[in-house]
Amino acid sequence: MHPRGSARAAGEAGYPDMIMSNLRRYLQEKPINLVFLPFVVLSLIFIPGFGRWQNLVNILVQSADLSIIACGMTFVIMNGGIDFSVVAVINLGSIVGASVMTRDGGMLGSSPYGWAVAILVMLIVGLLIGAVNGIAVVKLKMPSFIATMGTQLVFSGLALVYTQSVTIGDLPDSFTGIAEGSIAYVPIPILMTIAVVAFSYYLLHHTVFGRHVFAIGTSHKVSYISGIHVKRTVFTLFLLSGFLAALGGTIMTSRVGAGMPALAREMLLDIVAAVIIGGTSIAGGRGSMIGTLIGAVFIIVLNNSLKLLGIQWYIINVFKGVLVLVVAFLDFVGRRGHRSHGRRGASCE
Amino acid sequence: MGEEVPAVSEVLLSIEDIEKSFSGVAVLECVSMKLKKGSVLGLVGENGAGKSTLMNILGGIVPRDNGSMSLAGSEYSPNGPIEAARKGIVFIHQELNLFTNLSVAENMFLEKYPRGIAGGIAYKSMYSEAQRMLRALGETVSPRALVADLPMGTRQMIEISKALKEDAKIIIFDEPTTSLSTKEKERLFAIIKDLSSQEVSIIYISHMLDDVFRLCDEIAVLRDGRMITQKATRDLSKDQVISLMVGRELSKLFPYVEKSPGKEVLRFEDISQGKTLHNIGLALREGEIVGLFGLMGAGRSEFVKAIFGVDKFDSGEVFFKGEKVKRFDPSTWIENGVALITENRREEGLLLPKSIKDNLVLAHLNQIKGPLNSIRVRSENSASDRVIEQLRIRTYDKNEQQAVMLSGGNQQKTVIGKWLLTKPKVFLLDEPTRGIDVGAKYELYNHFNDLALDKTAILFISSEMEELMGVCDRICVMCRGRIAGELDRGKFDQETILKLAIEGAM
Repeated sequence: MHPRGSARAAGEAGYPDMIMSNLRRYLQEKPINLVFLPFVVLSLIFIPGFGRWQNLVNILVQSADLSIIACGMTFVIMNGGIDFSVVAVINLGSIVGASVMTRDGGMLGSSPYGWAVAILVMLIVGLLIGAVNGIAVVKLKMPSFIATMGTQLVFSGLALVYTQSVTIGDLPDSFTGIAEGSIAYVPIPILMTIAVVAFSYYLLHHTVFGRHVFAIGTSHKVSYISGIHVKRTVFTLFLLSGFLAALGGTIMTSRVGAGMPALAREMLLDIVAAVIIGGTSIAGGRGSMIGTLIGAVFIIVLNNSLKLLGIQWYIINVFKGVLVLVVAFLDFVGRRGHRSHGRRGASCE
Repeated sequence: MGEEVPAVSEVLLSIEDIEKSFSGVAVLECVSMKLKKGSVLGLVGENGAGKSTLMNILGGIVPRDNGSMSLAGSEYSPNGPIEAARKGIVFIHQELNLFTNLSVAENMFLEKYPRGIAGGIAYKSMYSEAQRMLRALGETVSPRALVADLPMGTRQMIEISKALKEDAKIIIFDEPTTSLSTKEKERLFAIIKDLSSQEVSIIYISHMLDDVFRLCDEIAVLRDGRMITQKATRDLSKDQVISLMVGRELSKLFPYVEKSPGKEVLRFEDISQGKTLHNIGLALREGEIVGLFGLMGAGRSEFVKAIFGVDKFDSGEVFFKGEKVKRFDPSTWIENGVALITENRREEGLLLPKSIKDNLVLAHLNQIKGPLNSIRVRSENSASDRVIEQLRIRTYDKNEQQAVMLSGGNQQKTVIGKWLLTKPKVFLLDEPTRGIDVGAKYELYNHFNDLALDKTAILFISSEMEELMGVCDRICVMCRGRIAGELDRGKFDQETILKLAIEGAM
């Protein structure tokens, strides 16, 4: 047999199989679907206005930033960590980017490409904060809970100091157009979400890097002895989280049309909730990128449908809390079944 | 043996025609067994023979499908471990179930603390009671000591006195000696003898046939879910038991093949680490199996872990294929074709909650990647299928079954399979056959021989001298962090080796 030929055949025949089996396992393992699909169906039937085309598109557009940021967070949580500093990335990125491109005295306010440079700067802010987190966790061996809580307070604080807590408006149209514009009738935020989720899904579920993430999240020690570059991988996870948070922040800044030092003030819980609702284990080693996407969309659907029913935001928060508990409970029940199966299996030696 | 068993001793527990299957696969078929009052019954069988399932049925952990059990003449069908314990059946597991963050006495009285005034715990009487119970076993440890600070042997004594507190009629020991020193083992045996003279019945599960023969009055052999025989120990020989266990005659316990060692691949010079390792020098040649023997705490594991980069060492030099090694971390070693199997396969070898396939390909991922760093699913499957077949790993589904659900032998095969995929040139094996049954051990020895014939250099660390003498071309003996001596195959001699291990260089 020709070795290259056989390798190619492997790729062709392997993927559909794998995708099908992934899908099947996903439906079994992700209890969120038991809640999400019925909720959407009930909303479509009973909530006037929910099923309107414009409303559905709005939901997807609104969930873009949350989905993108939650994808980054998923990588970190897969490793058993957490990244609180995404809030700081969005806040600081927003005002730094805005102050570069604002027509109200920005450095590149008069340049036609100011917005592009601004986006670049925002992404760099994300990477830098991610790098600081990564160094703190990998080199200084700090728990990510503490390291990222620290960087979150420091950099969010810097954003407020820098602007004296004033918003920076008057952003160029080419930038504010990102949140509202479309390419071939598809809103740009939706395109960005698709790109990011596809990239993250591929990276986590189909690459060597992704396998390493699963292994490291399960056991650092076994992974290290098996020759995986544990430190390098964990560092990369924080870079990814920072980068994707900055990208999500770009959409948010564009949507509000201003650099705001507290842009993401109330967002952290939604991000973490999206990841957990999506079935990623907070202990690491177990999770799914598609689950995170559904989790993020679910949170926006919940917001949207309850608002349409005229329910106050603080009540909506109660619903979100209940949702997290329900999904965690279903996951627990599902895994307990699994575990008792495992125990029986183990007992037959 | 030991004390004479009365001709007609009372049957305490009788198990009749037990059947059990898991998801359609029969694990136990028509298993019957009798346990006499005050007797020690050795239960032996290969991994997967059904010993644990049988004991779990007895302990009320899993229900049986068919059959009956009677305890002291009356029907016995426990609906859970608590009921089993209440009826006097106590299980002492291989991995002891003690809380290491609590004191000895707290562990012993965990289920029911003695209460004092106002419902508080009566610590004083708890400690004195615990002390009294431990003394009865000849154990001198303070009941206030933290379990985390205690050696394995002492922890086992705590489990035993806990069992006796429950007024146990039957105590089941599952591989109790694997982590014990020789001295601790002797004490355990004395206590087991003593218990049996006090009419407590013992079921003793072990792969160490020498121990079983020394200790047990009767031996029961399970194979593939069937009870092959139950006989008085004096009517059986070790060879007979082994062939009953594996269902075939093992011509030799240890296959040895003539090899022609080639060039030197790995050389250690003057490796030292704090107080654990002193000036260790050792060389490995292609196609050679070198044994590294030593008593517990001699520094064997510390040595391989230090040079592999899991821990650090202070001074010394390592040469790989004649070149001085500068980077000591697992990924560099693996790139160079050096693999390490640590003695702690559960914590350092396997991703327990992950599938068998995930575990097997873990160190091999970079070799099966396609464009854009993607994993080639077909290569991944074929690679893992290849080792599963080669090592005969028993799994019903490599993608679904978690490593934690495998038996010890199959877990170890999975760890070995992981490294086989990397095609190692040097294989460092730390206790690779611990806790594995005879048949699986034999298979592993054959694999090691095949690797050596294929020019792999193997460093084989073991506490079982017979095994090293059976398989190795050379044996190095460590004593208190030093290499005490080295023997070539022609000069292997138990006495010399043990003397080197105990007394150091002569």
